[in-house]
Amino acid sequence: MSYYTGSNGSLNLEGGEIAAVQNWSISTSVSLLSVRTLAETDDRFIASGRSTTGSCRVLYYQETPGQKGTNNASTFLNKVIKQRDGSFYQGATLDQGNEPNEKRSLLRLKLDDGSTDGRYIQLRIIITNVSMTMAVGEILAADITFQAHGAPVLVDI
Amino acid sequence: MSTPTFPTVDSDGNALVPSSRSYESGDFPVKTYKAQNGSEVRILYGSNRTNMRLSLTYANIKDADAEQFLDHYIAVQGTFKTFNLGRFSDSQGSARGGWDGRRDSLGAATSGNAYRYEKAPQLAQVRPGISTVTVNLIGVL
Repeated sequence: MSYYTGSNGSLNLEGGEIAAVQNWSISTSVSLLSVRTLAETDDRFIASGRSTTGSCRVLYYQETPGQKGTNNASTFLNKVIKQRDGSFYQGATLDQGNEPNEKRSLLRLKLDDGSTDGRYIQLRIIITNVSMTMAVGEILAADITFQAHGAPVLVDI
Repeated sequence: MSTPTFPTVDSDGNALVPSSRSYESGDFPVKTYKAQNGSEVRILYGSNRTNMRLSLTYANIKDADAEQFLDHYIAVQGTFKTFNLGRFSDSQGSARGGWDGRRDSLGAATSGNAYRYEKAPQLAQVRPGISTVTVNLIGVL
C-alpha cells in the first residue's frame, strides 16, 4: 500500500515542470437541480453542471541571479501581469496561452507514483488571481488561483 | 372533435406533477357602484364564479416533457379553446398532485367553467435537455 505526501506532487505548466511548488489544490463541485414535485416530500436531484477551481503556491526564485528563468513563479506572473501593448487604449492582451490567440493555459497537476507519467489531471485553465507579498523573514512566493475551462483534457488519477 | 387534455404523463410514464402551483379563486360577476356619499351598491350579474387563475411551474423537467405543454398550447389553438386538467390517477393527480383538498377546489368545472391558457407557456432552458415550464391558466364560463 502506498500513500503520498507533498514530495510526490508537482506541477506542469505549458509542458514545462514548475520548480519550487509549495502546494497545489484542486476542487471540483457539481451543481444540482431539484426535481422534487409538489407530490413528494423528499428532495430528488439531477446534476446540472460541474465546476473546477484550484490554487497553488509557487516560490519566486532565480536559478542564476539576474536571469528570471522559466520554471518558477515568474511563468505564472507573466501570464497575468502584462506590460501595456502600446495600443490606443493602453491595455494588454488577456490571452494566457503560449500559442498566439490561445486564451488559456495548459496545466497538469501531477502525483509521482513511480510510473513513467505518474498520476495526473491536465486542465485548460484561466488564471483568475495572482498575489505576491514581500515580507521581512519570508521567501517571496506567488499565490495563484485558477478556474478550469471545460472538463479536464486528460485524467489519469 | 374532442379537445386534447392537459399533459398529465411524463415521457417515462410517471405523473407529470408541478413543482409549484398558485391558485386564485376568481370571483362572481359583480358590478360595484359607489355613490358620492360613499355608499356602495353591488349588482350580481351571474350565479357562477369565474376567472379563477391557476399557475403551474414544472421545474427542471426533460425537454420532451416540456414540449408536451408547447404542443398542447398549439393543439388548443393558443388562448382560444378551453380544456380539462385531466388526471394521471386518483392518488397522483397530475396538475393537482400534492393537493390533499377536494379535487374540484382547484378545478374550474364545478362552477361551470373550463380552463384556457391565459398566455403562452413560458419555457426556460436550464441545462442541456432540461427545462422549466410555467403555464398560466384562467377559468372562463
